[in-house]
Amino acid sequence: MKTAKKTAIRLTLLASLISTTSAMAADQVTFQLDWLPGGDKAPVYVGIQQGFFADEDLEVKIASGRGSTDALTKMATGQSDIGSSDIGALMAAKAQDNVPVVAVYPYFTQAPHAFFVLKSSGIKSIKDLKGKKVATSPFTSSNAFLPLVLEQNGLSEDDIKLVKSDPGALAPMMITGSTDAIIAWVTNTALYESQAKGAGKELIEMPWSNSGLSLYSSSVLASEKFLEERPDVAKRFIKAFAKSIEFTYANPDQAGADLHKMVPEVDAKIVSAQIKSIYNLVYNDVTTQDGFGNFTDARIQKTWEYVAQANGVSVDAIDPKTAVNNSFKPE
Amino acid sequence: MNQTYQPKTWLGQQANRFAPGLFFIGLVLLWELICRFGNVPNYILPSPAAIFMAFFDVEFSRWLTHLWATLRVALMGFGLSILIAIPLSIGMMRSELMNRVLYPALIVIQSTPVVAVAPLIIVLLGTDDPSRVLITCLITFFPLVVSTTTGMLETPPEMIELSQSLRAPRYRETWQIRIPYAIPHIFSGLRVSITLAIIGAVVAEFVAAEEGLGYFIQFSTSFFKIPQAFAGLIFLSVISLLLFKSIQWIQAWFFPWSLPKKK
Amino acid sequence: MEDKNTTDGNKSAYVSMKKVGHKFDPRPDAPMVVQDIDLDIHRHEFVAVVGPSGCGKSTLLRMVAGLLIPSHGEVSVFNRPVTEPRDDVGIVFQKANLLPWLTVRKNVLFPLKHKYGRYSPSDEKRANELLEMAGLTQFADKMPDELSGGMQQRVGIVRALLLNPDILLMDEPFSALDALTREQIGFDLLDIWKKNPKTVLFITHSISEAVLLSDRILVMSKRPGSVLDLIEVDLPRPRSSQTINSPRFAELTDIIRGYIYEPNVPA
Repeated sequence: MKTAKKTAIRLTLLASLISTTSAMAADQVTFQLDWLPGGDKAPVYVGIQQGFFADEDLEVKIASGRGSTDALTKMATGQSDIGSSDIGALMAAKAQDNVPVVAVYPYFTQAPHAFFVLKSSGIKSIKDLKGKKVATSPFTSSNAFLPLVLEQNGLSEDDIKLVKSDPGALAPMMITGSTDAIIAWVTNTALYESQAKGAGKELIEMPWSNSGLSLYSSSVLASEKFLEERPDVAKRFIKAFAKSIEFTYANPDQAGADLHKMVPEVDAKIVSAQIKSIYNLVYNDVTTQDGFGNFTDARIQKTWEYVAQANGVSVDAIDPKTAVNNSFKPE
Repeated sequence: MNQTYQPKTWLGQQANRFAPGLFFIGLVLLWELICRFGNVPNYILPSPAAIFMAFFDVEFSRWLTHLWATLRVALMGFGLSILIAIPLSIGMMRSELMNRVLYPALIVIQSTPVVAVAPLIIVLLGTDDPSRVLITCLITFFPLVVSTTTGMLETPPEMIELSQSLRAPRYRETWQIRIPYAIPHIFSGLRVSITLAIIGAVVAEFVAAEEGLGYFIQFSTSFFKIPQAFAGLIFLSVISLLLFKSIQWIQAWFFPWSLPKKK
Repeated sequence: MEDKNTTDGNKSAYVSMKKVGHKFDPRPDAPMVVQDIDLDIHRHEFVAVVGPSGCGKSTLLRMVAGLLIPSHGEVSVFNRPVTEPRDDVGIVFQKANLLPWLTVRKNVLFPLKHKYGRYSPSDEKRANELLEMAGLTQFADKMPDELSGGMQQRVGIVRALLLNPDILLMDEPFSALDALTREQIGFDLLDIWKKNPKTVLFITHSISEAVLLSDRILVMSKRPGSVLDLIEVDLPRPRSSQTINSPRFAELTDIIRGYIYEPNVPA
C-alpha cells in the first residue's frame, strides 16, 4: 500500500511536470528553405530575431535545402512542416505526381530570372542578344522559361549560342569575356555586382519579368499533413511570416544583422544589399494591384500556363487552383 | 635496393632532409606569384595569401563547429562501417553460401553512386546525423570488407592445418590466427576508408546539413567567397591527413609487428 | 604426460600404411597423386621420405596427420585407422610459421592456447624446459622476426614437441635454410630426438640430409608417387660430421641418387 501511494504521488508530480512544460513549450515548426541561407531567405531569420514567431507562441527550426525539388520532397515526406520554394516547381510536381504540398502565401510575385550583361558589351535589350553567347547553369529552372522569353522578344533558341556551366563560374566567365551574357536569378545581383566591381566593370540586369514573363515564383508552401493536423499553428505561422517579410524589406540593414546573428558566416552587408536588390520581386505592380499576400486565380492560371509550356506538359494536366490554399492567409 | 642519395655538405643535407617541406613551400610561392602577377581574380583561383586571410574572416569558434560536425559524422560513419565490415568479412570467410549471396550485393551497393541515393536516405532517416552517418558508412565499408576478407584468406595454409591438426574450435582459428594475420590488410583498408569517410561526410553535408565543412564550402561558394571555400578545403585536407596519420600511429602503437620491416 | 620411451626398441609397426593411394578428384578417370604405398614405421623410428617434387610426399604426411583421409587403402596408428586429426601428432612445416605477434615462448605455448584457450604455469614450465633443451632460453621473450631462420625453425620444432606427441611429422622443415645452417640444425634435431624419442616421418628434398638423419629412407617415384625402394641406413649413431665422410654414406647417397635420376628402374 505504501509503495502504491508513493507511486501515485510520483505519478501526479510527473503529470503536473509534463502539463506545465507543455503549457510553457511553444509549438514547434520546421521551416524548409530551398537553398542555403542568403538575402532572399532573410524573413524567417528576421521573424525569429524580431520575436514575431515568439509572439505567436511558435518555436521555429530552420532547415536548409538543396534546390526546389529537395525542399518539396522534404515537405512532402514530413521532414519539414512549411517552407519557401518555387510554386512553379510545385505545380510541375503536382502534374507529375500529386505531392501533398500546397502553396499558402506568395513571396516573390514576379519571376526572378534575368539576363546579366556587362555595360561594356553594348547589349541594351534582350533583342540585342541575337548571335551572342549566353551561359547558364545546367539545372536552373530558368532554362525552361528561356524559349518563352526569347519568343516574346522575337528571337528563338537558334538565335543565341547557349552554353552550360557551373553556377559559380557564370559571373567570372562573363567578367573575363568568355561569354557575352549569363542567365541567373536577380537574387544574385548584389553578389555579381561586387564581383564585377572588383574587376572594374559594371553590370546590367535584364529581368525577364520586364519582358512579359509574368508569374508567381518563390512562395510559402506547406505540407498538407501540417495544415490538416495543426491548422491553428499554420495560421499563426503565416501571420508571423507575413510580418517578417514586411519588416525585412522595410529594414534591410537590420535584416542583414539578424541573419548574421543566426548564421555568422553570412556577411550582413551583402545580405542587406541582396534584400534591396530583390525588393521588386516582392513589392511590384502585381502587389499594388492585387494587394500583398493574395494569390489571384488569374495569375495562378497564367503561372501554370507558363510552367506547363516550359515543362512540355498539357495545360489540362492539373487544375492549378489545387496547388493553392488561400484559407491560411492572415486577415 | 637502390642507393639513397646522400649529400656531402651540411647545407645539402639539410635541403635533402627538408625536401618535402621545401617542395610544398615552393609550390605555394609559385601559386602566389601566378595569382599576383598573372592578375588572376580571387573568384577564379584565390591566392594563398587571400586564403590565409579568409581563415580570419570566420570566427574561430565557427571553424570549430564546422570542423567538429564533419569530424563527428566521419568518425561515426567510419566506426559503423568497421562494426559492419569486420563481422561481415568473417561471415563471408566462414560461410561459402554467405559469400556467394552477399558479394554481388556488396558490389552493387559499392557501384551505386551514393550521391544518387543520398536524397532517398535523407527521406528515410531524416536530416540529422543518422542519414549522414549512413551515407559515410556506405562509402567507407567496401574497402574494409575487401581488405579484411583478403587478409583472412592470405593466412598461411600451414597455420590453418596446424589449427585443424589441433582440432581447435573454429572461432579460435578465426580469432587467434586469421584475424591477426589480416591485421596488415585491415589497416591498409582502414587507411583508405578513413579518407573516404571525410569525403562521405562532405557528400552527406552537400545533401542536407546546417553545419560542417562540406556545408561551409557549399555555402561560401553560393556567396562567391572562393578564398573562404578554399580555406574550408584546407581544413578538410588537414583533418584527412591527421586521420590518415592516426591510423598509422594506432597500427604502430598496438600492432608494431604488422608493419613492414625497415632495413 | 607419460614418457613412452622404451630402450629395447619396439619393432612392431606403429604407423602403418596399407595399399595407400589418393586422388583429390573423385572421378574414376582422375589421376592418382600417390598409389600403392605400403610402409610400416616402428615406434621411435626415424623415417625419411625422398622423391622428386610433386610426387606426393606431403600428401603422405597429411594422411598420417589425419588432415587428409586417403581415397584408397588405409593409414593406421597403433592398429587404429586414422579418420581425423590426431592429438599425438606434432607437425613441423617447411617455413617455421611462427605467429609474428607472439613472443617465442608464447609461440611455443600456442598449441595449448589454441586448443584449450589457456595454459597453466606447469605448461609454461614445460615450454621453458623445451626452449632450454633447444638452446633458445635467451630468446624466449624475443619476437620471431628478431631470430635467424634457423632459430625460428628450432622454435617450430619445440612448438611441435609441446604436446609431447608420439609422432613428429616434418614437411621439408629445413628447405628454406641456407646449407650451413641446414647441416647444423640437422644435428640439433638428432640431439632433440635423442632426448625426446619420437616416431619421425621426415619429408625432404635433400638426399644427404635423409641419409644423415634417418633409420630408413622411403624413395618415391615421380607422380603418381609410389614406392621405389625402402633403404635401411646402417650408419652408426650418434651421427656427426664424421658420418658424412664415411664411404657408406657416399654409397647410400649414390644409390638414392640413382633412383631419383633414373626413376623407372625398379627396386
